[in-house]
Amino acid sequence: MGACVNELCPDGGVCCNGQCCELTDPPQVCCGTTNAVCCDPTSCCGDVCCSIGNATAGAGGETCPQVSLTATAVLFTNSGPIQLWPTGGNESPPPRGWHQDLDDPLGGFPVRFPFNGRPVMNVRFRVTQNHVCGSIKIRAKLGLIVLGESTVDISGAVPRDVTIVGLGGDGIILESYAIRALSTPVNFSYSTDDGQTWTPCGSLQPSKWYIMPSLDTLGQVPYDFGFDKVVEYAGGNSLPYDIVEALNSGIAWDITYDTQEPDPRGHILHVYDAYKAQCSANANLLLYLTSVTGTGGSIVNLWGGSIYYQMDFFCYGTWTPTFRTLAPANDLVAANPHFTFHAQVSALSNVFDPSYGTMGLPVFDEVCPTYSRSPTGEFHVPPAPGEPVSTCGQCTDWSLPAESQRVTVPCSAWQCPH
Amino acid sequence: MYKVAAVLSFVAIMSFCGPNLCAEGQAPDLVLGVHARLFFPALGLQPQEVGDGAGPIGYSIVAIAEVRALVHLAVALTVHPTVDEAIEKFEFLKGSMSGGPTPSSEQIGDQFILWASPPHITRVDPVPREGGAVLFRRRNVVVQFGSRGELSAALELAHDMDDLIRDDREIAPMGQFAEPPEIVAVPLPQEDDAESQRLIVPQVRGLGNPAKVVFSAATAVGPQENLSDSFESKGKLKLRIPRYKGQNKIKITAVNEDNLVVTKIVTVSVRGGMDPPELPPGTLHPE
Repeated sequence: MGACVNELCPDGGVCCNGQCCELTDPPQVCCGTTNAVCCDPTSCCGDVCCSIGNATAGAGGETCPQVSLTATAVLFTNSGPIQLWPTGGNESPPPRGWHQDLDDPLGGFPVRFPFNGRPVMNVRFRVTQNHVCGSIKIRAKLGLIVLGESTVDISGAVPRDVTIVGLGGDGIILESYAIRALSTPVNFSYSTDDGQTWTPCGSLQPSKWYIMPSLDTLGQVPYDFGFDKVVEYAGGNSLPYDIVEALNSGIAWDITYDTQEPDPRGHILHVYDAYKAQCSANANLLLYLTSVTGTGGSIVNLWGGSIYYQMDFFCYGTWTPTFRTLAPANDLVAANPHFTFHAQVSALSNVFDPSYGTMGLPVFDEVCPTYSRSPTGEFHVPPAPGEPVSTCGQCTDWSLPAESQRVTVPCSAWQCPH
Repeated sequence: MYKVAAVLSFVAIMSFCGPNLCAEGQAPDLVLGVHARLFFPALGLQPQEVGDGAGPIGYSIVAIAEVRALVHLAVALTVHPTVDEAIEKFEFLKGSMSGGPTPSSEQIGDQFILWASPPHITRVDPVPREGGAVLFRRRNVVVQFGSRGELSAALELAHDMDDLIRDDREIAPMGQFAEPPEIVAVPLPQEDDAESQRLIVPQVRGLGNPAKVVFSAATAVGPQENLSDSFESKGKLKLRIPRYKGQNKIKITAVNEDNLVVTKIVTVSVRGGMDPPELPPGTLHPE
C-alpha cells in the first residue's frame, strides 16, 4: 500500500484518504468518508473496517451493527423423556433432533424440567451478514427471565449455520417451584457492544414446557397426556402432599364414579376414553399420575373378611358384597354403598380415595355376620355351639384374595337388612 | 345392518366335538382363537387396538363406536387354553367389579353378567346415556366390555358377539390345540438388581409364531408394579426388575394375534432396592 499520486494509484487501485488500496482478490475498497480507510469489501461497515474478533478495528474502536442472524432451531438436553399418548412415539428427546426447528414443518416437541432443573439449551442460528467489530453476544430470554448468554464467533462466509452448544453454560434455570406448563417462546437477541444494546433475532419455543417435581417417573411411561392431566389437576402446587391431594381431588371431579364400569383395557390413561371409572381404575389412575410427578404411591385394596386373605360375601338384595360403608351419594353410586371391595392409594403416609376425592380409610359399617360352619360346611348365623366361629372385619392388602379364597354366607343363613 | 347374518350365511358351519357331542373319551373341542380382524368388522365395528403401556396389543381392543347406538365401547377378549382357565378368568373379572350386577333374563354364552347404569352425563358428554357393562363366557372364550349408549344396543352387541364365537368357524376356529399353549420358560436370573432392565425372549409353545406373541409383566404379589414396556414386547419382553427387595413374584402374560392368552408366574430375588411400603392399618392384614 503506497501513497497516491495526484489522487491516483500507479497500479490502478483505489486512492483512499491519500493511500492506495491493495489489489487483492477482490480488491480493497475505500471505506468511509471523513477518515476513510482501505478495507476488504466484506468488512466495510459504515465508516470503518471491521473484522470478527478484532475489537480495535475501526479507528476509534467503533462497532459495526451490520449483523443479520436468526435463531432457527433449539434443543434442550437433560430434559426428561416424554412419550406421545397413546402411540408411544418419542417427544423428548425429539425424534428429529430439535425441540423446534423452523426448517421442520411438523412443529415442536415438549420439554420437561424438574423443579430447579438445569436443561442445557443448544441453539442453531442462520447467519446472513456478519460485518461486526468485536465479539458478538447472544442471549435467550423467557419473558423477563434471562435463560442464558454466550459469546460467539460468527465469522466466515455467509449464509451459514452456527450452532451454540450450551447457550449460557451449564444449563438454564426456570424460576419455578411449582407444577406448571408453559407455552411461551424463547426470545433470542444479539449484542455487538458487549451487552449494552440488544437486537432481537428470532424466537423459538418447544410445544410445551412441563415443570414437575422430579424427572423420575418411577418406572412408568411418561406420556404427554399424563403430564397435561397432572398440570390440570395439580398446577401451582410444589409440595408432594399438596400435589397428591390435588390429583386426588382432580380425578374425583373429572371422572364420573360408577361401580358398574369395568376397568379400562390397556393403559390406565384409557380411563379418559369415557371419563367414567370404578374405584380400582380411579386408584390406578391416581397411582399413575403420582408416578409421572415422581411422588409415587401404592394401591391398597379393602374388603370384608373373617380371616386374613379371605373375602366373606353376604347377601344384599340380588347380589353379594363384602361390606357396607357410610358415605354420601357420589355420581352414580348411592349413599352408604355396599361394595365387594374398594381400592385407594397409599402415599406419603396417607391414604387417598380418588373416587370420592377424600382422604383416609373408609369405616366399614357392615361386614358379614358372625357365623360358624359345621364339619360338612353348613353355615350357622348365629354360630352353633361347638363350631368354629368366624368374625368378619376390615381387611387391607396390596391385592385382593384369589378366587379360591372367597366364601359366601348363603342367603338362607343371613341377609343384609338394608 | 351389521352383516352378522350375512357373514354367517357364507361361513361353513363345521361339525365339531362339543361338550355334549363328543365320542366317549374325546375331549370337547375348544375355540382355538378369535380372529379380531374378522370379528369386529362382522359386528360393524372398527376397533383401535390398545398397544401402549401395560396393555398387550392382542388382548385389549378399544372400539370408539358411533354405531349400534353406542358412543363408546371398550372390549377385552381372551381365549384360554382350557375351559377351566376361562371360568377362572370369568370369576376374576366378576370379582373385579366393586358394585353389584344388574339382574337380567338374557342368556348369553355359558355364563353371563350385566352391570347397567342409569342415564347419566360425564365431563365430556352432556347427553344423558345409559351404561352397559357385559361379561360373558362362551366355552373357553371370555368377553368383557363396557359401553356408553343404549343398554339394549349393548345387549344386542353381546348376543351378536356370542353368536359369532359359537357359530362362525372362520372367525373362531375350533378343535384341539396341537400342543398345550404355555410359556415354557422365562430366562430371568433367580437373583437380580432392583430396577435393572432386562430384554428377554420367553420361550412359548402352542401360540403360533413366537415373533408375533405380545408379552407383558406385572408384580403378582405385593405393591402393584407394571414391569414391562409393551413398545418392545412383540416376540420379546423388555422388563424392569421390581423396586422392592426380597422375593418378588412376577406374572408374565403372553398373547398371540388370535387373543389366546397364557400366563406364568416366576420368582426373582431382588438385590438392593427399597423396603416395601407399609400397609395402612386395617382390622386384618398380613403381619
